[in-house]
Amino acid sequence: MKKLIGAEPPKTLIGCQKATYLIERQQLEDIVPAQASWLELHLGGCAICETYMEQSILINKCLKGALQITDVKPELELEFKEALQEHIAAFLENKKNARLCMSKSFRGPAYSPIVRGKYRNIRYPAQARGREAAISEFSVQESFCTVMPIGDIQI
Amino acid sequence: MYKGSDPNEKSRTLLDPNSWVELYADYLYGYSLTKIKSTEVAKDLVQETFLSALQGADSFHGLCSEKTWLTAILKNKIVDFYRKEAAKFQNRPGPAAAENQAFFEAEDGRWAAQHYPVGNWDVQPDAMHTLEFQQILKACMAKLPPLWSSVFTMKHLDDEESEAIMRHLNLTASNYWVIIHRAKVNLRSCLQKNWI
Repeated sequence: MKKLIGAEPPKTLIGCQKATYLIERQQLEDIVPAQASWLELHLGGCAICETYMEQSILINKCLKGALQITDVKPELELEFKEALQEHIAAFLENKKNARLCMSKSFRGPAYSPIVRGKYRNIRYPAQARGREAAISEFSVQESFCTVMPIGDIQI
Repeated sequence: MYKGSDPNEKSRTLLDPNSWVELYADYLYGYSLTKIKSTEVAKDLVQETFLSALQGADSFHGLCSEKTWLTAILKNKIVDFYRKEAAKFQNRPGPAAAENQAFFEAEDGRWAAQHYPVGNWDVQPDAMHTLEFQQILKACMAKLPPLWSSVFTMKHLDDEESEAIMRHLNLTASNYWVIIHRAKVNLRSCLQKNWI
């Protein structure tokens, strides 16, 4: 079939829209032999879709290394990093305090069933609902221990 | 499992969260920016990654490095972000979708004359690796609707399996391939207008 360069694309078994669809699909996974035949037939008579295919393949090749080329390495602002560091330190401190409260040396009035029931809704702030809440409550000022002074426990 | 957190624990000094910001924050931020267009979202993702890592420290068994583990957490956060973005705009195709209808003639699916692929892109093969081209490519990708952008990025940049993308974004196979096709047609057209 003679290629009509610069003229309107010829009518074939599939149109250009279907042909370009198959071009994209073929680059990413195998297409059925019938579709491959239709595509080959179409490309044999349509220089415009052949141009499209060449450009599409080129774009796919460039995308692999694309968006990595940059003249500047992205860096976080110092204030943001400092805030992150503080949050991590606060989290670790609170986890350590919670672990100390749960240790054997604190087992006594603080762990009576009544107290446990009274304070069963205590959560780490980092588990708060919503991302905004989690970020704003990340710094915990009171540990599990401080909310239960021994004098308030009732048996 | 934290270094120095409890000297009485058996030493499984696998994680050192106190050094994460210094060692990995910029790397994770840069990684996010290659997938996500917004610097604010990228920062949020880094913060959420560290938070999830702290909360899920028990799941780290030292089979990979800290950096690899944190990067894996970040990748999951990015997928979650794509899913939310896609769900937000699933029913609103956006301007690129409308333009897509004009690329091909409605009656026979042939190229519309004003959208013929033209230009000899082979003349400057090295030009496609320049910073200028990358910037134009980024700008063209930013014009895609969020769902198309998510699918396209996950496939062509993250090299995810098609089935995984369909599962993450709740797409049928038919929808998925139509999006891949339309995104590329739009992207190619945008590059032709702005770069050639």
